This record gives sequence, C-alpha cells and structure tokens, in this order.
Amino acid sequence: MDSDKFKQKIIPLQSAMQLLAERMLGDMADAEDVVQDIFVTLWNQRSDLDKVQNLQAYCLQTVRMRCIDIIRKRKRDAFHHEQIAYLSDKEVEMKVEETASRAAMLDRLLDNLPEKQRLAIKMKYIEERDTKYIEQALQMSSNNVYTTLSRALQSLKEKIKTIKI
Amino acid sequence: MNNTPDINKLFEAARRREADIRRQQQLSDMIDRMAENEEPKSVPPCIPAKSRRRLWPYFSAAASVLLFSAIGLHILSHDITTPSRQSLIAETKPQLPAIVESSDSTVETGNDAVVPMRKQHTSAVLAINETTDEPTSLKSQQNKQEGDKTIIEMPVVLPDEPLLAEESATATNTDEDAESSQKSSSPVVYERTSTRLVCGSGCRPEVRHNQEDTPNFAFTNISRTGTTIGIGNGGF
Repeated sequence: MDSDKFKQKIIPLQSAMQLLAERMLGDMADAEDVVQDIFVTLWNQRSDLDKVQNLQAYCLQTVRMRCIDIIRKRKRDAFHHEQIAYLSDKEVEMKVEETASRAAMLDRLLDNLPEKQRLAIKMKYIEERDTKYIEQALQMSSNNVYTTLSRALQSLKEKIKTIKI
Repeated sequence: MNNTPDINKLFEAARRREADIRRQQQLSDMIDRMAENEEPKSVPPCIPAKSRRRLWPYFSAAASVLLFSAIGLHILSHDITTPSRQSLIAETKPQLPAIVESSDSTVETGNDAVVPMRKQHTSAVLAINETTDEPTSLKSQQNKQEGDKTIIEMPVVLPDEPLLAEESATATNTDEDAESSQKSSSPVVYERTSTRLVCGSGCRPEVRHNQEDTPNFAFTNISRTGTTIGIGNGGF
C-alpha cells in the first residue's frame, strides 16, 4: 500500500479513531497522541494492510487495545474501564455519522446568515478564537463583535426550532 | 416526537469536524514525510566522472603496487616466521633408530660365538614373537647347525613405539667393543621372562631379561621389515 492509497483509505478513518479514543480515554490530547501513534504503526505495517478485509474494524480495534493499555497504566477504576472498553464499532460509526450530520446541519444554518455573522460565529464557536482576534479579522470594534455574535446566535436558535429531527 | 437539536451540540460537532480535518491534514503530512524518508536517496559520487577518468591510471598503478606488496609480504612472512610443514613434521616426529639394512638376518650363538656386529648397524631389537615353552616350537623355526654353533632364526614383531634414544645408543656397537658393551649395557628392556631359546646342542637356556645376573646378549642384524632376528652371543 503506497502513500496515496494509505491516505485514501486510512486517513478518513481518523475521525472514528479519534472519537473512540476520546470516549475511552476521556481526554482529547491523549486521544490525539494515541491516534497519531497508531497511524505511525499502521504506516510501518502498510504492506500487511492489503490483507485486511475491514480496515475500519481493524483500526478501531487497534485504538481500543491501545486505549486499554493506557487505561491500565492509569489504573483507573474497573467500572470506567468496562464502560468505555465495550463501545462497539457500530456505536462508534453511529457517533461519527451523528457528528457529521450535525456539522452539516450547522453549515446549512450558517449559510442563511449574513457573512459577518457567519464568520463571527465560525471564529468564536468553531475555531474558538478570542474576541481580539475576531476584532482584527473582521475589523470591527469589540462592541460590534458582541452585537454581531448575539444577533447571529438568536437567528440560529430561531431557525433550529423550525428543524425537526 | 419532535426534537430540536441543541445549538451547542451543533457547534461541538462542527468543532469536531474541523479538528478532524486539521488532524487528518497533519497525519497526511506526516505520512508524506515518512514516505520521503524511506525513499532511497541517490548519493552523489565523491569524485566526478571526468576526474575519475583522469585519475584512473593512477588508481590502477596504486592498486598494482599494493597487490604485489601484499603478495611479497605474505611470502616473506611465510618463509621467515612460519616453519614449513616438513620442518614441523621433522621436529615433532620421534627419532626412530636407524633401520638396519643388513641381509644377514641371523646371529650365531654358542659358547664361543662371535657376534658379528657392524659399525653401521644400530640395535633395534623391539620384541620377540610369542613362543611356546616347548622346544619343538623352536625346532620348527629354521635352525641351522654350523659346526658347534647353532643358528636360531625366529620371527619378530616390530613394536608400535620406537626405541628410546638411550637404548638405541647403548645398543650401537662396533666389532672391537662388542664384548664389553654386552656386559655394560643392556640393549633391550623386556618385560617377558618366560621366553626360552633352545640351542641345537641340547642346552636349554632360559632367557630372562631385565635381570642383572643374566648375561646380556646383543641383538643385531635385525631387519625391521624382516621376519627373523638373530639372538645371542653365547652367553647362555
């Protein structure tokens, strides 16, 4: 498996792997480290990956085992270990799909907002920028930024009410 | 059941998606770096091709000089320091007594027998074949009667181990000091005491070696490849 094929088949599995690792470890930074380590391992074993039937199940199981090792090292309580360890592949897949659908829904809601409100919402709540950054990026005063964000949130909440899941 | 989504969950999902996109990009870059590191890089030669062509005769001459020097050193060191195989064999090989090349395979015995001994002869008596005590066993041998002298011929078996140098040296005699050497030196040491030799005149001497009171008798005219030895100098 060359690098292009690896990127095409393995890299998209990062979302599920990250979600599973976060759920098991309860820490985003630790999950990122675990996933990155697993990707390095998978790259070194890429010659054997062609034989794997279900790459997603293989990668998720690798994440699961690696997280269990970390949990054992942390000496967490058995209940937490048991709760997290048995998150099935289907559940992980559903969580990933749910996240993707929610993100897509937010995109549709944001598309209906004015440009400055959309950009302000994205920078504030998605990119998690501070107010000074938004002020410089949008060339607005701080009061204008707060006002813009407030109006955008109000508009979103009103539109969400019209959506039925 | 109507269920409106929470705005915070939407933001969280969007953040997760953005984070995933960023991480995937980072992982893709990492894969690219690892793939680049694994590719074999062509190492440029130390000397350009043009210079190599120019320097080739010098390299060839230097290689020839080194080769012949190595061969010469090898030969010299081999001759000086390491002994040859033949010399090693000669040093380690035990010195065997000289092989007696006499066609005379008998020794005269008798009261006044004279043991014919030659200067070039070296005693190399090794062992006597097992013989029975019965005189008939010796009679079966080729005994010759020449006047009052009895010639006894008997087979010998050459031992595996050579004689000691001292024994071979004491066994070397000349015609002049044959009798004195017979008394002063014991040419052969045997463990056997039961060997009996019978002379033709009816005497029944008992050969007892390793005993000081027993007259020594010299063995001579022994062929290492022969089957008979002559015994005695008349000391029975």
